[in-house]
Amino acid sequence: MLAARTFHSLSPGFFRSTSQLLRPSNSLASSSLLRNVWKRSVVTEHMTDMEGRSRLADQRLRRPNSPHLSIYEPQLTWYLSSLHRVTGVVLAGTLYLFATGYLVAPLAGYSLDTETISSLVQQVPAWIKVPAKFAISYPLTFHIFNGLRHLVWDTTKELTLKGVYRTGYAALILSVLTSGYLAFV
Amino acid sequence: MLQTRLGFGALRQSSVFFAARPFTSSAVRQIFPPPPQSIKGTVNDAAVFPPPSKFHGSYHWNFERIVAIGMVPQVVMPLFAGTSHPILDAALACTMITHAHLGFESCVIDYFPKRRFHRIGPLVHWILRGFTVLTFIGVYEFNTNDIGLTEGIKKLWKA
Repeated sequence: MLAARTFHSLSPGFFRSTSQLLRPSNSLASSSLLRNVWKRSVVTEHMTDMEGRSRLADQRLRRPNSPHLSIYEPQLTWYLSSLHRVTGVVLAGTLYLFATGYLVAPLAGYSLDTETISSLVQQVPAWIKVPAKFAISYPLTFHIFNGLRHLVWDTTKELTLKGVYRTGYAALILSVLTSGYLAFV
Repeated sequence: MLQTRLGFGALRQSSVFFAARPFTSSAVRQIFPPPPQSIKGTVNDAAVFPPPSKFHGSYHWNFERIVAIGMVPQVVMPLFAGTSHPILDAALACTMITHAHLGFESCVIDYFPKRRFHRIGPLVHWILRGFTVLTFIGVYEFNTNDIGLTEGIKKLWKA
């Protein structure tokens, strides 16, 4: 009934009014004894267009959504793509936070200059430093090699599925090797 | 590819647990559900195209790639050859901050689209611009008053 109401309001001239639909038409029941019987089996409420649409939007808000990101088959393509974005945000975020921290720290009494930080780093033992350096340099090396992969794609090379997987494994392996080298430098 | 051959994805779906909604058979995680459909005007209005602008188009894409290609030698030289020079610091500051800003802009456009976030979207965009300006000033101060980007990273790495 609600649908009949809103559908009717979109094109007023084409359909008969609801009261006409409920009333038995004279052509069909002209000789019947049930001429003036009004059938009201459904209770309707009057709603304007806006109210109807907001009621529909409210219903849609409560409906469950189909899962999308949580059920997609894990693949190298989108895993590496999201890793590229995550490492990029981590690197850029570190740069932004360090630069603004360098500006703001003297106002709070601290100083973020290299003398202070390097004296702190010197106290860290070597068996923590090497894995930490690997963990810190890996986002950078992965982002560099995946960035080169993107630039290769921009020259229209390796844009096949085989090419994407080939370059993807190459980026992963090269980044691990480079980070491993840098951890011991 | 090895993962798909082994059916890794099927393993994830087999862990069934019913949360508040019994209609789904996979883990219920609302990753930012889309809002209900709303039509501006009527269904018979023509689609509105964004106005043409020289800043939003292939020129922007070209600029992104030029900055990215420019970053390659500037990052590879200090990282693998160990060079450090004040002019390299200045160039690296400019390209790195531009590259970071362009990357963050893509994230803001993806996760705070204007058609869905009418006020927060542009606000986050302006906050990003302010942050970039602050970062630029901070890196300039670091390069001037302290040792500089390349020399500083080298010192902290070998400390």
